[in-house]
Amino acid sequence: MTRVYVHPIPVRLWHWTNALGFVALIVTGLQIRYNVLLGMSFKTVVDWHNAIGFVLIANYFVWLLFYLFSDKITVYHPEFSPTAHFRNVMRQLGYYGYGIFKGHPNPHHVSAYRKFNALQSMTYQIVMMVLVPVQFYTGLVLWDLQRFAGTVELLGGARVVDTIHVVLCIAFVVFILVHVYLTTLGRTASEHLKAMITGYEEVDDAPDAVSGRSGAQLL
Amino acid sequence: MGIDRGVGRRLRPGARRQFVMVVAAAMLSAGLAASAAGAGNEAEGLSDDDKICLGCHGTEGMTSKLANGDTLSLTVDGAAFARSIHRPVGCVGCHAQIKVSDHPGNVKPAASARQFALAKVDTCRACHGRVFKTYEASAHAIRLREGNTAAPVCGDCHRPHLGAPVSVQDQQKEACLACHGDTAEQHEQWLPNAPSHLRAVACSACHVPDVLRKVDLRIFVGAAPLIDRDGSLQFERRARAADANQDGLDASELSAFLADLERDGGDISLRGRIELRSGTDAHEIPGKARAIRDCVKCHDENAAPFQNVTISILDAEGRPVRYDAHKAVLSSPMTWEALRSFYAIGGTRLKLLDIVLLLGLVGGIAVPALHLAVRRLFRRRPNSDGTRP
Repeated sequence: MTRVYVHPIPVRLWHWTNALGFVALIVTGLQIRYNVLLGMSFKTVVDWHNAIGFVLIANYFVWLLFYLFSDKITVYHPEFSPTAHFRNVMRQLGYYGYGIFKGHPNPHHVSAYRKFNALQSMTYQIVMMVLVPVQFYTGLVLWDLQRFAGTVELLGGARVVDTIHVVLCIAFVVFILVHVYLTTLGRTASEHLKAMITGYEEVDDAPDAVSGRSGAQLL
Repeated sequence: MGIDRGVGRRLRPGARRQFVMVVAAAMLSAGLAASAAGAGNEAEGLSDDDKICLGCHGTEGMTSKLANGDTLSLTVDGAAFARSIHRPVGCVGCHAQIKVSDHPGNVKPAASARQFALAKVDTCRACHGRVFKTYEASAHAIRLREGNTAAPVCGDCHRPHLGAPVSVQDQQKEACLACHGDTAEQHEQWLPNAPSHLRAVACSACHVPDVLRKVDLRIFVGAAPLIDRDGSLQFERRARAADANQDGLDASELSAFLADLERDGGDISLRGRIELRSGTDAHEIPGKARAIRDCVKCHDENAAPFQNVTISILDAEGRPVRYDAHKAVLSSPMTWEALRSFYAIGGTRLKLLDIVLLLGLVGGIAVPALHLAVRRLFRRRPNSDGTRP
């Protein structure tokens, strides 16, 4: 077993801020939309929702700048081969849908520059490059409809912006639930959780020779 | 401006020549007015007496210099007055003190434009007693009773000679902002998205707290409100035709009705506005300390304004013509597209998204739970080679 440093401090700080922030945004968002928790002032919840949103937008740039100015950006694309990437995604899906039940080894093996399996890499890129920015932008527009009147006009109206914001919120709810479950698929249920706190992942020395589960399943 | 037809018999001989000249001038004016009326349909329906008055007062730029130096406009747009709701009352209905015999020579001018406006209040009160009762309880009337002559009276918000609606529900912003010029800044200090609120919520909807509110969905064609200029649109007839049960338009009926209107041409949409159900209630506006500041009075699906919905267009005079709709039109996917620009978070949310959220929650929990259960199930059963997963 080798301890591999896979989660540098900026990534961990970004991750946990983002995690707590997203949960807070979902809770406050649901309260704004459904007003289920009595005794909470609507305006206070809106103010908190907006403030947390701004913190997460700033936090997003921690993630973005770290990867833009670090060679760790290769964790998203160890090799630029769409065919290989697609093949690995299917292989990973096969593992989660069948192999894991039969005790097959995880097809992905973690290293400092290959910490994501292909499915993770694809999902995280869609989330971080498309869904999260769109969510932040629609949130900004809803925060100040007047300031972003051009966007509101372009999209057709505030209701359209809100619908995009809510649909993405639902996508994030599903993502978080599945993401948390998949973190429990390590050797122990808390292995990957601890790695995201300490930064170090326990990796098999010779993964090819090992028949048990190995590698990170952080999705 | 009334015409006293028996005045000639009571005049002193010396004044008889003056009277003849006045009548001659009036008749000339009447002729001018009649010819003006004949030039267009706008002045149709005016009485002969009114046409005589408008012979002079229809002249652009007619003013009177008051004692304090104020300039009072004496011009009345005859065409607009002919279309106004006050036309049947006629000039004499509100200006009974004016006698043609001594007009304009012996008219005692008001001390100031403000005094003139204050004096006219009693004229309005004579017919609008019920409205006055509500006005008397308002912060405006209280200020007036306290001696603040700048406090708003009828003429500050209403234009009785104009064809535009006398009600200020539709143009309320202009009426209120004429005095409350810092409204935008005041609201921006505490109200999120203040400009959107000021656009979609009538002032009175928050500032008159204890009365019934509703949502009016104004039909727009492109960026302009739909106006029935000559009655050919037959808005009410077509709405009734779309309303199968004659109980107001439901989402499906409204959608079909809007599609029907769209066949006339243009991109039809609905712009919602929260208003008072009765414009009369707006007159009892109390001090701003009593204004609604609790957001969930609207931002909740059970909020009062969303329980009553109307759709409307404008008639040629700018007056709303309304038809009832079900409250479900605010949250139905069928009207989502038409209602794309009216949205109150929590209040008019799309029901379909609630279902999608529920499916997301159930799926997000059920799929991992199922996966976990299958993993455990396989762990109990050894593989064919005897190893355990």
